[in-house]
Order: sequence, then structure tokens, then C-alpha cells
Amino acid sequence: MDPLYSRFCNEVCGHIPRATSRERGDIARELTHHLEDHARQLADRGVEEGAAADRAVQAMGDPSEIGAKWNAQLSPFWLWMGRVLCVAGMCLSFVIFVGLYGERFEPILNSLLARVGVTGPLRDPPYSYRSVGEMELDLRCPYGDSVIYLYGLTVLQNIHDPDERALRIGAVAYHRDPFRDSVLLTNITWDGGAWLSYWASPARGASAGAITIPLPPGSLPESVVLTGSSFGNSFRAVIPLDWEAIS
Amino acid sequence: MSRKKHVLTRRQRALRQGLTLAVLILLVSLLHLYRPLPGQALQAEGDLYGLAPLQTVLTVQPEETDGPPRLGRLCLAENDGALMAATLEFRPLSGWEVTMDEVVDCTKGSSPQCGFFRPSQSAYSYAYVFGRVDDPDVKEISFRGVYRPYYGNSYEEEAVLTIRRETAVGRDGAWYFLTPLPEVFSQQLQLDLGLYAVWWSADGGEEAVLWELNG
Repeated sequence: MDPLYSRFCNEVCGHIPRATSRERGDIARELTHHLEDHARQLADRGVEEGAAADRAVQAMGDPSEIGAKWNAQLSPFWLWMGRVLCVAGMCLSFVIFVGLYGERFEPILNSLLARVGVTGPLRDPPYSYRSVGEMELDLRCPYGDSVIYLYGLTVLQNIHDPDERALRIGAVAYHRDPFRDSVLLTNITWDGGAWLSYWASPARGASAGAITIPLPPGSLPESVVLTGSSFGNSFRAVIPLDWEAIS
Repeated sequence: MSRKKHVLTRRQRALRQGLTLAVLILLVSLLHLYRPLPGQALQAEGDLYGLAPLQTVLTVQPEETDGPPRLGRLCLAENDGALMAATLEFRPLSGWEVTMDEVVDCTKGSSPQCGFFRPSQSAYSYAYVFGRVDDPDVKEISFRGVYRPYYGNSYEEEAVLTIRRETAVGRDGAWYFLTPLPEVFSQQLQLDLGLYAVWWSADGGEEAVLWELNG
């Protein structure tokens, strides 16, 4: 920077006590641009370079007067308002960072995966049972603000008593809003002899589990009806059973 | 080419910061990352039960014994299908959170709806009873406890608490309560007991089991 401009800018900034160091830098830069533009115009008209700079500085006027006017424009209110908002923004950014990388990321991911059907396989049969057939399902039942997604079933048979059989239905609950937790399957009362035989990931965005319904000995029902209710919410799912496909 | 760069005024800079803050608040609200209001924490907890939006009917500061810890506040919230008592605590990084709760299913059974609630796992905290009474004939509810003393074989029964309509919080014809059990009885709850609510309606006396050991 031309030392002439530098001296002028320093004099102006010396009369702006309200300015922060960053604002002083901005003001000096803006003044320098004005001076350089003016000097360039004068040089284009044939004025010698050194004289052009001198005349540009003189044309700006009294530095103390410019500084005083600039100082009057700097409101302390807006300075502090900006600072408070900046600190609040940084705190919120930190909360978002901690939330996303902490406990909120996994539930949101689980909820999103549940609605596109990535639910994981039905787990191994319980002790002393074996799986003798399976079928894929795609039933989505509204339950309050949540949705219960039935994604598959297996037919279980007791190893010691082949007549004792049960259907095990894979279920996952997710909230319609992917950023909210779904109802826990454990908080639903299952009717018709069905019970929740295990659950996974409670309170992590999507609640997964398996619902077991005992089958009467020797029967091959065409369908089973699964109902659940609690706290004024209820759902009913009719699951058609294609025994040829299951076997 | 001009190298002029417009210098933002303080006002413009503050407005820009405000706009950024608004976008961040929108993001935080959308992702439910922070709960600045206690009602949001109650609703988040209600989501786990599948509850419709809850309305807070009663907020009290918890009674505490001499020992730690300091609790947040206790809330009684309701909707058509449920009554929830919850302990709410404020945490700087996540906002309000429910640390303990108890929900009574109001779709099963008739009025009054009562529950038993321990607001903290700490042995120092009082136990609470809570409820909603819609029946205009019910003027009071008594709570009775059955317990076995440390050095006794027989169970003893005693009246624990009576809550009257006049002392409860009324709203839309119903009355609500969230009341601590006496300290001695709060301690007994950890030993061996049953807790029963008894009331008189137009049909006569009725009783509800709030809590039973192994019950």
C-alpha cells in the first residue's frame, strides 16, 4: 500500500474509537480502494502517479472529520447484538454436532432404515424350537403416529413335540416423522394369545421385535389376525398364509 | 476491474448472524436435537408409548429428603387415553429430558384413574401417587398400604394418605393430584408392600391396586 494512503487511513481510524480492530481493517481497506480508484482515474487523465495519489488523498477531505462521522455511525447496540447472536449460533452448532454424533444419529438412521425395509433377518429360533418355513411380508399398519411394519414370518416347531407350532412375525415400529422415536413394541398389548418374544433397539428411533402366535395343533389356517392396542391406539393386521409357499 | 468490497454495517452483520441462528434453530427443531421446553420432553417420552399430544395439568417441585440428589420438576400430563407422571430435568446440552415416568392407561377401567410413581431411583426420594377423578360423586381418595415390618412375620395395614377434592387441582370438572406419600411410607415401599387406592362413588366403595410386590 502507498505510504500516503496508509498514513491517511491510520489518521481516519484514529478518530473511530468505537470501531473494533476488524472494523478498522475493513474501513482502511475501503478507504484505500477509494483512494486507489480516484488516483487511477487521475492517472488515466495524464496526472503523474505520485501527484495523483497526493490529490486523491486531498480530495477525501479532513481525516478527523471523516473519522468522527464514521464513528457516529457505529452503533454499540448492533455490535453486541451481533456478538450475542454469534455466540448463540456457535452454541447451537455445538449442540447439533454433539446431538448428531451422539445419541441422535443412530435413532434417525434406524428410523430411516426401517421405513425403506432394512430390518434385519428374523433371529434364530428360540431354544428347543426349529424353523420349518418362512415367508416375506410387507404389511404396514398405522398405530397412532407410528407405523408397525410386519416384514416376515417363520413357522416354529417344537423339537420335542412336533404338534406344538407357532408363527413368529418380524415387526418393526417407526414414527411417521423420522426424527422422532416410535412407539416401543413393548408398550403394546398383543391380543389373541400373541406375545412379544424379544425386542431390540428400544428407544433408538425404531423398535424391532418378533411377535409369536401359537398355532392350534394340526391346523393350517388361511390367515392369522394380529391385533394390538394401548392408550387409545389400536391396529389390526390380517396376514394371509400361503402354506405351499411357506413350506 | 474494481477491487471495491462492500463493508457490512454492524446492523447488516447482526441480521446475517440472526438469519444463520434462525436456520440453526430450524435444524435443531426439525431433528429434535434440543428440547428448550418441558412439554417437548414429555411428548418425546409419550412417543415411546404411542401417546397422542399431551397437555400438562400439574407441575410441582419434588419433595426431597436430606440426601442427594436434587431433582428437576414433576409433571402430570394427560390426553384422552393416558395420564402420565414424569420427572423432568434440564440438561444444558440436550434441554429438558424425562428421567422417570409412569403412564396409566385411561382407556381401560373407569374413573378415577390413579397411579404410583417413584420420581427417582434414589432411596432418598419420596414416592408419589397421582391421578385424575372425573366422577363428581367421588369426593376423596384414600391410599392404604400393606407392608411387613423388618422384624415381623405378619403384614400390617395402615392408612397412608387421603386426598380430598377441595385440596386438589381442578380443571374442566375433573380434579387432579400428584402428591407425595409420607416419608416413612416412601421408605417402606422399598421393602415389602402393596399400595391400594380406595374411594366411594355413587355405586359404593371401590378399590384399585396401585402397586404390589411381585404384583
